[in-house]
Amino acid sequence: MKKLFLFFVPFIFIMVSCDLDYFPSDAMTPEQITKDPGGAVYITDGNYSMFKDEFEYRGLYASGNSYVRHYLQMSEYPSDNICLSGRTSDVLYQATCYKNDPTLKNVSTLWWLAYRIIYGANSVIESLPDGVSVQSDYLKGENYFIRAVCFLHLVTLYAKPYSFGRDNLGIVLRKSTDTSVTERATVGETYDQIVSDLNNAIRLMSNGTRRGNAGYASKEAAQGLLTRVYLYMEKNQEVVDLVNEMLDGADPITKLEPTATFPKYFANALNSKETLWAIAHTSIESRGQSSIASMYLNDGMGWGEVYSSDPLNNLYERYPNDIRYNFVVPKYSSTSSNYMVYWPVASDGDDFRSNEIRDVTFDGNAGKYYFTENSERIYVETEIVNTYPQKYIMWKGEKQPVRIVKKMLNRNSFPIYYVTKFSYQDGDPMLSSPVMIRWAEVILNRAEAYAKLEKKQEALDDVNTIRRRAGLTGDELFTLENMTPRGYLSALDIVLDERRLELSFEGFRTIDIYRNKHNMDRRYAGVHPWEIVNYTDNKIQYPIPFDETSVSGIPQNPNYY
Amino acid sequence: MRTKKILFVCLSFLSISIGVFAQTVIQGKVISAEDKQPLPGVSILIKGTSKGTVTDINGKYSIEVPSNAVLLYSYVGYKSVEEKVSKKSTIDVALEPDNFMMDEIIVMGYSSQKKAEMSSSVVSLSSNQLTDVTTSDVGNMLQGKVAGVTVYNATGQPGAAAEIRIRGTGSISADDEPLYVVDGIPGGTFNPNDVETITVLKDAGATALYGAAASGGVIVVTTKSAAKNQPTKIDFRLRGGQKSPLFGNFKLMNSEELYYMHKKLYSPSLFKQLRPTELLVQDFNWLKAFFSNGMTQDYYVSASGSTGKTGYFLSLDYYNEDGTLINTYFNRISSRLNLNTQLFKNLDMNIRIAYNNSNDREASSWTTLNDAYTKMPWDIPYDKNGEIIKISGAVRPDNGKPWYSQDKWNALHSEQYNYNKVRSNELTADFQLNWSIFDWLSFSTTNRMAQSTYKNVQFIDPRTYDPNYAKGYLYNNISLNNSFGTTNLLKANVTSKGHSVNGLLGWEYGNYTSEYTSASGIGMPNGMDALNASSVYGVGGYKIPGGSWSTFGQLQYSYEGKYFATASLRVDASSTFGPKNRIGYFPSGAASWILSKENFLMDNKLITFLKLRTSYGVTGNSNIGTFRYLSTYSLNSSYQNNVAAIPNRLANPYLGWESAYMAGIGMDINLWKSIEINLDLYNINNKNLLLNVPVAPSTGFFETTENIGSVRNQGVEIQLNTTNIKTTSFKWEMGFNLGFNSNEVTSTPNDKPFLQSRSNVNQQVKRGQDIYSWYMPKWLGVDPANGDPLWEKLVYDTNGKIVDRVPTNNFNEADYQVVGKATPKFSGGWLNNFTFKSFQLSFNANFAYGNKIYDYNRMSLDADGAYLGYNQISMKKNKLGWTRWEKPGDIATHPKLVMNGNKLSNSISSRYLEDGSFIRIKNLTLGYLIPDKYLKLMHINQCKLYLSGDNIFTYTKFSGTDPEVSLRTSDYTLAGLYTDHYPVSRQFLIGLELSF
Repeated sequence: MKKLFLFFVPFIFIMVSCDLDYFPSDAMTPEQITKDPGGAVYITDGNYSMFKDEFEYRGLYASGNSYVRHYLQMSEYPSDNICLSGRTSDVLYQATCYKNDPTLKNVSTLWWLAYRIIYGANSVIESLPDGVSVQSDYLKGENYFIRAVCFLHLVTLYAKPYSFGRDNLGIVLRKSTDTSVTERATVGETYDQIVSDLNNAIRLMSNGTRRGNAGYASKEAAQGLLTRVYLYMEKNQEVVDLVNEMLDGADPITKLEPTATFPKYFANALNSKETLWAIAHTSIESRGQSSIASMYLNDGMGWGEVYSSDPLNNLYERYPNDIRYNFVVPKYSSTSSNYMVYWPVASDGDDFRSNEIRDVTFDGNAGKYYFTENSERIYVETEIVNTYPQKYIMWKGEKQPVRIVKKMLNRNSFPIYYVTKFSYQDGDPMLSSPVMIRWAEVILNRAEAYAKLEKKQEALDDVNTIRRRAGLTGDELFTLENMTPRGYLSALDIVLDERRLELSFEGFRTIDIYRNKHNMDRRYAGVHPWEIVNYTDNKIQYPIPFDETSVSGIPQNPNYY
Repeated sequence: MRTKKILFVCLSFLSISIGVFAQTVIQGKVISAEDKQPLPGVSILIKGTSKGTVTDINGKYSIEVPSNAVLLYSYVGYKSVEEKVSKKSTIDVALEPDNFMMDEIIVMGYSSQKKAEMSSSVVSLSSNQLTDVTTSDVGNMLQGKVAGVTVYNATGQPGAAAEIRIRGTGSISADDEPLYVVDGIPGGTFNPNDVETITVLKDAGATALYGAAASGGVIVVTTKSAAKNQPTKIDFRLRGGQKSPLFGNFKLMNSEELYYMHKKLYSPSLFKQLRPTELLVQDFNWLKAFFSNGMTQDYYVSASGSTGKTGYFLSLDYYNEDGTLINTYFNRISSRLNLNTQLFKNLDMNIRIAYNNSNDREASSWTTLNDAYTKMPWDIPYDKNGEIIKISGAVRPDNGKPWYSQDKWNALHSEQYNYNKVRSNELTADFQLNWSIFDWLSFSTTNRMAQSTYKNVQFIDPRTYDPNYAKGYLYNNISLNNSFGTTNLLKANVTSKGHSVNGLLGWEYGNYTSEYTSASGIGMPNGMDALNASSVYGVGGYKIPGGSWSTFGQLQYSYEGKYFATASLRVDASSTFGPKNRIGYFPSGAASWILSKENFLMDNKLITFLKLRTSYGVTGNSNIGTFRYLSTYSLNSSYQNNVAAIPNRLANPYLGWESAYMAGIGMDINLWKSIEINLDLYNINNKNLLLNVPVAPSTGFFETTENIGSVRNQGVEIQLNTTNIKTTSFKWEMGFNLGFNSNEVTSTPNDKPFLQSRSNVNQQVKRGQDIYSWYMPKWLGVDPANGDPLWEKLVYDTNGKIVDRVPTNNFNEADYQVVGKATPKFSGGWLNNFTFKSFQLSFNANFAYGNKIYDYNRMSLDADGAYLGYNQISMKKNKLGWTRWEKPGDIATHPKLVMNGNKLSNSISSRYLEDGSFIRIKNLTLGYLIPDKYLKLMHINQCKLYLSGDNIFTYTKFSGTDPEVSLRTSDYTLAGLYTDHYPVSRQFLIGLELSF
């Protein structure tokens, strides 16, 4: 018996002295990852993946909570390009209506994810010395580019445009993984940092080649982004010079996706020469109902609740041959070939306008459509404004502009104009690899710079390059002569309209309007306040997230708590 | 030949050890003093030894003893009796029933103690006291039965475990569930039917010995085993019945009420166009389509007995419960074998094997419940032939008319094909040796190997519409879990001249691995739910290893059976923490004094028993998940099919134990032999909380886990057991328990408040406040002048002092403030037992008071016009006094209806914060014991028939389906946050218990 007892005692102490150091099997410590030869590549790919992956943030569902979706909604939905067809509990509603507050999911998530990516980029930048190898420099360059993208997105959303002054409050500039000090730089300092990051990116990626398709950064992507940054900084000559350097004598149209294949460009963006950088999604990374496309399109899957706005539709319809309007898909009523008219009316006790919709009949004698109201025929009249036809009716004694269309389906009185710029990669209606920089924008960046440098013809030439690719020719192009009759007072206005037509839904409209100190005319039907948003209004900036200000104590933007 | 030799040696050894005195054989019979019936299974011990026997079925026994021995007769529920042998050869004993069982032996895991001698606050329940409620979960059975233990059934999902809080919530980020100790080893599995006793250890005097994971309290479970010389006993229990969902005060609109509500919202022309009058007769009751009655069945059989040195207990149980929500169910087969055998005279061996196999089916999608509650009555899910239609857009495919509901799908269609199932197998095997080295020294080793497997399969058929998977989806996740645990105890016991000292030394070690493998596929043909039939969508898998060790000691001293003192110390190390702070120290001390044994109270007619107790101790908590101390890059992401590393967490190498410092005093008092009162006061300080501290998101991270902050729980518990009436044919026993708990955050990082936020609903954690303090704008009701919603705006002076509170109809001006708390002020239960001849009637009720529930669903279902695609809560039918503002001067609870919402009136504010108080009759059972005279003919020992009802009645003002809302804060939800809720059920069952 004693032997048995003696047997147990050592047994016990062997167990007690056991090693309790365990490590995870699906995560690496910084020590492990820096020792691993592929470490920097893993982290760089992780930085790219954070643009697309859905994450949980403090108990908020991961579904739809991705950087790219929030970015594209927050940059586009406050503009005059979209029409929200009903209130939604999704925070995109507050973005659409300038009713933001610092606790909203998109406001918090985008901020956090941008800095999470920046943290990842910083850890690569810190760990790779310059000049070890071409590949290593290239990788480091990619991370400078990624950091610049995040800084730029943050400063455009959470700060005032550069053109409002360099001294306005910018963002937190994290230049290393040391996070001990948190303070807001000025807008000027922020842009200077972005320029410096992009120049580093260009320098480090000048040798070597892109790691794959346009889902990876390259020297050209960094240059392209720098033309945008210079444009926002109103360094117009630098824009022109850099675009010229990028073109290296080539005709700009050679950089664009050809007209014939352009309708499929966005579904195939990763493999197009036009794409400078897109956020790659693989075929199994379709986000279904929480995709970017979902809000724009149903097609058996999506919510389909955000439509192309009537002012934008009107702009496209000026030139029926414009193939870019193919990305807008009106949902016609299949049971009827009749027409209808609609126009906005104030809704009781609310700040937005929905539509009054009437079926119309063609009066062969008058050659006009009409509908009957209180046994009185109301005709749809046409007038020519700035060479373009415009429809109106006389309604309660006033001239009321209307749109007349083949009978369409509507949601809450808003005719359904789906948008397909974020659809049909691999045939999947909810899948795309959203394009963040492409050649068409770079050319339009130069166009705007030319316009501001008073080089009108050069500006129009660049605009016409874009228009030609859109299938427009001859009289459909702009000349110094036809611009005034068409209602344009300056080449800049032409460039801005062209940017709107070309880059619609891609996240440019809001910043394009405000940085040029224009006001946003949102007096059209849709679930947003019927108003003109003045560029001086503080609500054009998003608030700094409450989770940030409450912990780090950095100052909030004006008008928010 | 060889065996005979061993036997001879053993026998001679035996005779040496006890051969000092002459041996004599004692025979006799033990009966109950109350009804003079023989008592089988009474334990008879030779005092001061571990030798003894038990009575047979006729109450008879026979034992060989030294002539100077003292025999100790004990039996659960009866007062123990000591008899000196002297020169007698026959000793008959009549045992007096002990209503309060002060001699009852309380099993506390590592040790056992007489109830009268405990210095700690513990409550012990027998199997019968537990299984009145029919459920698969033991937590449900504890509800309302133990003072200071709050049990909530947060969901009606069959098979779901109830939440248990012992003496309030002390942790913020770490899990605060109690620790289960099954048959002497932390963790493990058991079937409630196999439980012999359950002991709830509430204070540190008792729990500190479990140190590491005991800050949420400890629940000690002992499973049944055969007594020595127990005749064969076979038990059958059968029960079954019907259940129906309970929706409480929650009533939805029918099509007509909704129609006229929309009529007030839309302009006349739009209304005519979008809401045709035919809707008035399209009235589909979606709740009825999703919920229906179901069955609960439980079949249990056990056999136990012993022959010679070996005893066995064997059981088999089949439990099957239908869910009330469409397609949900739970069933389980469990079995257990407990073997005990005496290897040598002083060495016992116990082997326990338990096996569980369960199948669980949940709603096929997380949106199913929401669909049940929100779909519009105008949407008929069938076509005119009665076939379920598939919806994938705003227009019905069968007639081209609109699908009115906001969400453009028909979940009833999906439910035909899709599913979400979990299958699990669990096996635990215990091996235990008890070695009595000397009369005063013993050693035991208990070792458990446990293995479990879970498989979760989710299937979305390509024929159905799913918002995220157009081409179908199949997900398989398999987890394999292995664990090993060993507990080794050396116990000593010395008695001399009224002084009694016993002590124990213990060592524990445990390790575990959990492995997960998952795969998912898409694009399978219709109905094919095998991964082989799909194309690869994703794969995943990882392994979590971990381990811990502990050593501990306890010393107990008592003098003359009146004065008791206990001290213990436990040292724990866990792989949860980094090497720098891995080891935690958990001491405790407790003392008690039985005043009623002092001269001044001896033989007092009023106070028949009086004891004072006090205890102090420290326990720990490490329930935060693994590897939180490490900085990591997570690898479970990819970019363009390449592995990607994502920064996951900042390091905290100093992360260590969260500790609960518990102090308690208590009193046990018996009055007139018919009233037992236990009174407890406690103060628990949880310090060094394992807190997920918010960090600025501009660092790239939003929280780190740190040991910071503290929370205090203080409370009073009263437990009352009385025998109100007792005649020969009628008995009324009553139990009542009540626990008041007050919770206060005593420190936070940098003394700054922070928010716990889920789905944008906030609770503020701030010094001086309850841990679950709701933080949101305060609702001031409806402006009688114009029907506007009103909130409170605070007016501050230049020093930041609040000088005025004014109403505002602008939500963005309303100020966030604390508007209530999610924790109840008190909770408790009331139990009654009536026996009349062969009939038994029992009922138990439980209640909670003073908590506030945030009803998240009302933001869309009671939204004043903000949601035109969701059905709305009927104000007419719910009888809560809700009224709608219609015209100036109306005093109403609800603002004016406005298309797309009235000035954000449905935003998060205290408007939807409701009183969660309730009282519920949890169970009512009427039983009939078939009299013995009939049974004897059929050789049946006992036969009981009964009718039982669960959740008979609930009184609450809460407008949701059920006020028992989770008190747990997790990654997805806050304590007291009510969202799409699986309703609990009312069930009526018929049962039969037979024993041979």
